[in-house]
Amino acid sequence: MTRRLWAWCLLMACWLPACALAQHRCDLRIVSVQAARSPDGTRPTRGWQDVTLPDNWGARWPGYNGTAWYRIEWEGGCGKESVALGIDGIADAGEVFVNDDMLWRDASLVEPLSRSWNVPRWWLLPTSGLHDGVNTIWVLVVGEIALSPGLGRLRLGDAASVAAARDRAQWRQRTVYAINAVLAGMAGLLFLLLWALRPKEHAYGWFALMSLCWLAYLSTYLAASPWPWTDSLSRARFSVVALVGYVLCACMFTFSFGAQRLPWAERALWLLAVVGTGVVLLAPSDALNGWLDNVWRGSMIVFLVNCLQFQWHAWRPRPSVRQTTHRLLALCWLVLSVSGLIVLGLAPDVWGVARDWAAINGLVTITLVMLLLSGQLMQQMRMVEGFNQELEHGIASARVELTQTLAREHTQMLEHAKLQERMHIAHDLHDGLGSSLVRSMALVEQSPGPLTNDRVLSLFKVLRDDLRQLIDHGSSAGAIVPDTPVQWAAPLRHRFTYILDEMDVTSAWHIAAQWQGHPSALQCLGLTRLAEEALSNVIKHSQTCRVEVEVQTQPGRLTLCISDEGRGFDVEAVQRAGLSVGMRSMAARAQRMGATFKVDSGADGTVVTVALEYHSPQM
Amino acid sequence: MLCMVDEKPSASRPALPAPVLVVEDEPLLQQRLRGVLLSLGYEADALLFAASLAEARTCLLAHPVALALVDLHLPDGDGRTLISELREKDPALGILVVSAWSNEDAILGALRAGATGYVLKERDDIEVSLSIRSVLRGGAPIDPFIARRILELLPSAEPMQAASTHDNALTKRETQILQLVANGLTNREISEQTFVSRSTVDTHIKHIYRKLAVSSRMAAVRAARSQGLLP
Repeated sequence: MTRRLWAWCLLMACWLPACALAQHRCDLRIVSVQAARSPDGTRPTRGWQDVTLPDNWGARWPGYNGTAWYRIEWEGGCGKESVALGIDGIADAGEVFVNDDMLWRDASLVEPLSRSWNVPRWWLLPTSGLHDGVNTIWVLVVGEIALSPGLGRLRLGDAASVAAARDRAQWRQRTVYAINAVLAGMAGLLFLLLWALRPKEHAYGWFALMSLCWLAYLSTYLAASPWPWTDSLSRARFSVVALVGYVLCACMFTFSFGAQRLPWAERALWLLAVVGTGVVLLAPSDALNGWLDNVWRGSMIVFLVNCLQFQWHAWRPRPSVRQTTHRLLALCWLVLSVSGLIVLGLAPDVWGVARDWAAINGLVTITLVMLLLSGQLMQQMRMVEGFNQELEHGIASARVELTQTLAREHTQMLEHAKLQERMHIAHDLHDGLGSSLVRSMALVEQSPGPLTNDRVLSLFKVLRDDLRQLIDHGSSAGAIVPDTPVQWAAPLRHRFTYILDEMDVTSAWHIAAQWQGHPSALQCLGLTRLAEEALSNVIKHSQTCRVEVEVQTQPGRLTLCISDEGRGFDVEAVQRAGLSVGMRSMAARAQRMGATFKVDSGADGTVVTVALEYHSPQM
Repeated sequence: MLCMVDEKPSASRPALPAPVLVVEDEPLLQQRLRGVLLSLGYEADALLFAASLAEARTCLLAHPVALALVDLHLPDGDGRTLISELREKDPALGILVVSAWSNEDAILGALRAGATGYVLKERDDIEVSLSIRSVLRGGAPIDPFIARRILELLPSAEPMQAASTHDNALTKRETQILQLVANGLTNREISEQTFVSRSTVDTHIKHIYRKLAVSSRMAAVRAARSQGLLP
């Protein structure tokens, strides 16, 4: 059947060269073309029938398998000038004689038969064997009825024109298919590889299979022998199975590429393919031709239906963005389906495209390859670009978010620190100034009579000193722990030495050189205030002529000792009476900074001792 | 209350530099300073009081003063500008800052503007009195922390270096004195330790103050030059 199609195409193609042949100046003329069956292979003497070439004996001698002879009688020629013979194909194998001389024969005239059905050949006829007048070309043809047996187009003429015609036939019958086969093979292998690397891309896999099936089908046109099958019929069955596979794969590829979900159609296709394959493989040899024909037609129809349904899929209006690649594939399928319709005889072959169907198919294959590759590449590049942009955007937004978060955290921390500091100040105010204030108020309240100005003043001075301590602790000067006890004592020493000098009181300062630990800033300030108050008391009350200030340090602790040689006082009595603002505030201060405070007083003077343990090494 | 100062006979003192300008906006504190000055032996008519920079300037136009007690926080501005003006007119004038706030930078700024010394308002009268007397004696009260800051601020002269290259550099003796002040020693103790008279110690400290003012003036000139205000 494919051969019939081919022959039908060929008829159109050979019309023009045939016309040219008739106008040759030497006027070669074919007198008659006749054919006769020859079951035993010898030249028949009877049963000759007039035929026209190309000829397929299937219609004339139904069911006839085996050998037939063709007899072409011709006359004319230009005497000495050689005559060339061209034959476009012998289905399936044969021998060519000029008169009684064998000109050529196929390699094998028994199964597995040589396959000459699609091989155009030409020969120069040996002039020695030619007669004047009528000469005869004898062609022995061995064929199977299932394989459209017969003789292809035959030419007689001068060598140049016959060779040229043979070249054209060679291009149409073999070169085009060879190119197609190469393309199909390449595309098949390439996409098989791609599919192996990316098994999720089903379209690649189906396209690869489709290409390879097409390659297998094309081998029908190109193979010189039935190999690897032992007979021509098996070879023919295989070709049609390959075609069924091709159509199945084409449909699957279309679904996959077009992102169509048609599970029922797929199942139906598989079923059809199985049925078709079964029919092809199981059909009896004598009825094979009809069955192959039916399966071939069925495949073509399925292919056409698929092409047409994809047109609808690609072109129908839809809300989402249309896929350009789908439309390109739809265009390819459209071209193929139009040519297929013509091949099936369902549409008029206006432009004579049907005979180039295979060529078109090859071109379509290339187009598909490029389409798939470029589409995929574009998509991937777009994905990469999109990913880059997404990444950049992501990074930018993350950066902004981070900045905002950090800023927010910073603000929060700042707020928190401010709040902490405020609470700290409030706490200090409450503990220091507040408690002094409460104490002073209690003192005034509990006083049996009005207080003297001096007492009130000393109350205020305690408050002032507390305030000063708070302020100094809050300011930079108070927040820093002096490097050494000497530096800590320096302001005190400076101030009080001047005053004591003025009062003619001798003062001696024995200050340790190192802290031997880490007093806190608050402890330093508290110590300063304590020393100030102690020295103020000495100046105010002791009437001494000598003051000694001693700071001793041991690892982790410090002892401040202020002693005078003044008149002293009854410590317990003063404490009981609750009269001494200074004493009580000193004790409170010492308590606040975690120090022990002791006052010893007697006739030979007063000793105020403050023993302090450093809180922690950090401060 | 410390009242021993009052018991000292003020009449025995030599003539006190007069008149004294007191720039203080708080009337009660004006009264307090008046009391301190009177206790030092001043006559009431030798005391001029101004409650603002403007009043002080008016006062100065009428009477050249021999001693000034200046508060830094005044209703119409910073006392430092007044100190600069006074110092410019009379390099030898005693200027004592009586400040309410013991902010180191404020005090140092006043000293750089040309003050001779400073005392905190919160201190007892005896201390204020001591400071004024120190200035009257021609001395310059100095605190340990101020001494430390000056040691940080002014370069120490190299032993062999020409004095002219660094006219604000501290001499070796000055550095030694400042170090002792920083350790809390009084001028008396310093004079005992360094075997110089107390007045010499005072002179040294005044020199140091002058260098401090010079260094600040030089910095001002440098700044003016860099801004193109001076050639």
